Amino acid sequence: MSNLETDRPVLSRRMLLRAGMATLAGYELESLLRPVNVAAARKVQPRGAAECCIWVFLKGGAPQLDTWDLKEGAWTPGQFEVKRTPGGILWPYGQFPKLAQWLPRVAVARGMETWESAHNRAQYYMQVGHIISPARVREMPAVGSVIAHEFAGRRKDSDFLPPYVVLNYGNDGLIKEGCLPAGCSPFSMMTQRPSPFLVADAERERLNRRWALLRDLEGNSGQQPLEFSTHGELSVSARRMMSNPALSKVMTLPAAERARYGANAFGDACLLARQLVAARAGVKHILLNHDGWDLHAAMYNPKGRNHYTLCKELDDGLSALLADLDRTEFERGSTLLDKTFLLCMGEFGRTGGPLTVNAGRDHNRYAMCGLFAGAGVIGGQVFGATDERGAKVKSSDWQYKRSIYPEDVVCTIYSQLGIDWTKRITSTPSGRAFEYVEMMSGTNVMKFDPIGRLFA
Amino acid sequence: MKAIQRVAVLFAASTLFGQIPAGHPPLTSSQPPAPPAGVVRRAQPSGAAVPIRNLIDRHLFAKIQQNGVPHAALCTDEEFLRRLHLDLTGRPPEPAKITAFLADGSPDKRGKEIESILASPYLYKIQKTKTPFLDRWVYFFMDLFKIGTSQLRIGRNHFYDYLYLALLTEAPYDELVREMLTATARSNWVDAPSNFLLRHYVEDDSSPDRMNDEDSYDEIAIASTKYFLGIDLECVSCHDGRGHLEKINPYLATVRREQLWQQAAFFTQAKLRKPYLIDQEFSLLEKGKGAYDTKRSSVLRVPRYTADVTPRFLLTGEQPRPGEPWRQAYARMVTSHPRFAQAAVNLIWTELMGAGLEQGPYGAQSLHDELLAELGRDFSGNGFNLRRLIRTIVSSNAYQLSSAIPSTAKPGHDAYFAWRKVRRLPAETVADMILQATGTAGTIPVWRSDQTVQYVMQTRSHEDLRGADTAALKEFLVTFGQSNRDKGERDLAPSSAVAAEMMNGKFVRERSLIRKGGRLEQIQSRGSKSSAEEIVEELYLAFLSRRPDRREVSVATGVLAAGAEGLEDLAWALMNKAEFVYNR
Repeated sequence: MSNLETDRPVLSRRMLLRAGMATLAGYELESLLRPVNVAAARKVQPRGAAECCIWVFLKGGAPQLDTWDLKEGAWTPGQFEVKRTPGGILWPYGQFPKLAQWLPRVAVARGMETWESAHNRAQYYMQVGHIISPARVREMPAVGSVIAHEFAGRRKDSDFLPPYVVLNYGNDGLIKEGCLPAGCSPFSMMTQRPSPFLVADAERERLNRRWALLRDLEGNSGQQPLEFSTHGELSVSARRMMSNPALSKVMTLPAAERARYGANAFGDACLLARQLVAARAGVKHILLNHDGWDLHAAMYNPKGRNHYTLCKELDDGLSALLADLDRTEFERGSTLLDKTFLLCMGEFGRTGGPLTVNAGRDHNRYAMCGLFAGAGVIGGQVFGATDERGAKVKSSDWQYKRSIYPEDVVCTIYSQLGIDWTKRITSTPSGRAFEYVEMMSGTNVMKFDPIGRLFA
Repeated sequence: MKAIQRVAVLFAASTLFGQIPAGHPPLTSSQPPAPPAGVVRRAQPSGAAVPIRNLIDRHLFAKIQQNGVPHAALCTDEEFLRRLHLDLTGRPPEPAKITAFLADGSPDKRGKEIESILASPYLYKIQKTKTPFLDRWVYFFMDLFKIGTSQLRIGRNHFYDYLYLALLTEAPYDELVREMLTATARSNWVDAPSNFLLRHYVEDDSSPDRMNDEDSYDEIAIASTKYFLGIDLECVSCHDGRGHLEKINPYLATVRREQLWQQAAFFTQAKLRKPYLIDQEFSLLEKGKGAYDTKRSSVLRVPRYTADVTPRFLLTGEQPRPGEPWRQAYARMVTSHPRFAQAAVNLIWTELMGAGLEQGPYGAQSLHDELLAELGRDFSGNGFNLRRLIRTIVSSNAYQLSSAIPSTAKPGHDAYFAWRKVRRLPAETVADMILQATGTAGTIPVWRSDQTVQYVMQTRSHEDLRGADTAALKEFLVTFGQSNRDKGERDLAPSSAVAAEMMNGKFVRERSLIRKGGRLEQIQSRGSKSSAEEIVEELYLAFLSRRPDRREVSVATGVLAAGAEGLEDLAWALMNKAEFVYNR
């Protein structure tokens, strides 16, 4: 059994037991970097309701006041078409007409906060669930990589897709697998640029011919540095992925579908996410990026990409994704949406009240909102509240008095995927245990938990 | 040295310069898979003694002999020429140059080749013509100092021109560093050297002038200490070394947190200002408070505590002289300390030799301590001339050893530089190799400038690649781990994404085509004037900087029979050979 994107064989549990080693995670301790998970003392019950998780990431930090935590004031543009929903909350129908129809099926949390105000630190926090630590930044894995690692021992032979897929994030600030094996690395794709792993039909014959030539030329080149052999093996591995017709099918976006999703980068990513989930071929976590929310200036500037553009893209793409997951069967009696945990939030909120002197909003970590759907999330609830300017959380309305923090969101993700979030990896290069979720904030002990309110 | 101490020493080197020493599990993402069994990679150890050419050889070969370490033989002329050109200019040698060099029978042709690269034929000419040697090394320092557009905007361009001129005129490195550390500017878009310090400003939304002074001073202290003294204070910026760093770096384990602030305090007479919200100029004038305030809240780190924070130089405890401006004092202390020269030496050494000379923490005994000290004295005693330092390193026979690891070598022998270390080429070099070999370098406009460049190594930063024209190239560079000079470090780790990019990425696919004005078109238009063997030899020289062996000629000439298609296939195949992206 081998992991497709690298040619490192994943040792099967049977082989290990034969060798006389019993480990919890199913990995042999062949090097310092093969982690051993030790379940922590706290007994928890992960929900395990989801096969896959999709995080729609609003990069730059979406303004809660102009999206899903609407507060009317002199700052509210007329185009927002603010009306009360049947559920009784204020909603910008001009911005999110389609998502308005989904309100009975989704949950919105308004009592959320985060710890960081600077983009790279806050984005790190959302990807890893931990504060950025210079001493450990190289070894700490992203949440998606932890998920990939958790499921590595359970990959079926039919699983040809990478477990952790990142769409439209780019390389800047993308957190990878740290001390976990290379198979947990994010598979990063930009929808507007075809992946080199996708071979166009017209190219296929040429690539086969060239590959044969390359093998002929390499021949038996005698003494070679070790690095050259590694390069060769990775080429073989990449080639295998490229030759897989199923991969090509999953990655190709039909034009008619693209139109339905909005025919833009974000819409394409939502469509691709649907195909990845529907393929049921091993994808466990998708980080789906929507870029551009960092509008410090000219938020409503009619020229160029502004708040209206972003909201339309989000409304079109997210609602199409929800709809398609909802109408695709998973098995008798359940849909893909029943089996997919979907969340949508950025790295922090934005300033409240009137716009700033630059006609925009600046960073605000003290108030943000998140949307949740799928895998048992009870729809029709909008809970938590900020002050009248939308700048600070007044009440969070969940199991604790404090606001909901990123760590709670990460606990929820792990729980939905059936992962015990109190686990830790002890065999890290630094020797310091990596806890999936550290129950600390600075020097204060804290208890982070899945957001129970979403499911009960 | 006890085994545990050796591990600590090795790890110390990694924190000092970000180098992961051999033998330590890699800490970067994407580790390569385990090698298959039976891979032949070793060579017979060299019996012949390697001639001693300079102080580097004297030190290294003495240690090699003393400790019975087997060493490689000297590399071939082909290997030397490719290695030298890639290391010094970021581009491979042209086929005509290779042929001439191989045919040259003079005894010191390697030395002459080194001299011709290091010369500045364009000094005092009217046109501001660039040379690959200077391009490559300005890019190196721009990378090191993390200069991009996102903070500095067009200050980046001015800083680039400033560095370029300094390298062209062989400005003493200590002078350059003092200039940068003491620079003032009413606008960093006018006064170039100030961009070095302003790069490290830290914003604070809750502060009336939007600048967090103390955090900025901390970042400047960390950066300058790291680049110019080779000591990374990042760990002790949050806590004392004691109780944390004993196993990592014995020197840093003795450093207290307030010593960073005492270092940062030298900058408190300066005030960084950001008069506009975003995307505009900074000023850096001597209008600071003149005192480091530990009560100031930090946006990056845990709260400070009250401590004596008068300016004190980290390595000596020296304070500014009465009446001496503090930044001037700092610049003086930094550049006159022997560690300054040694750190510069280690920086250039690592870049050329693949691993640092410094394998122990500051102050501790290390394998190459004496060589580092002597090279440091050689550097400081000769005007801190970077070009001279580069010449010393590449003229040594240690630099010119083969990369074939002797079959009797043991794991501990890695530290002796007894063979050439194989490294993957950085993203920019691989891209430029493709552009040069295919002869398809286009134009890349320099952002906010009327200049255009042809090669990636000539760009001021990755932000110059922004149009649709360069989109494929940009993606190529990102996949190959180009540093974004912000938080992202350069990534040289092998991965299947890198392999896929070479096999089916848009940039490589496009450059394998016969394009107008390119090498493949020229070959095609010569028609029957060139034989198939001549074409194969030219392509091997252009792409791999070596001649093909008989078997390769046989396979390759067969492919050319398919005409244009065969020509393109051959170009593609040569780029996809492992040796293309490696520097050995």
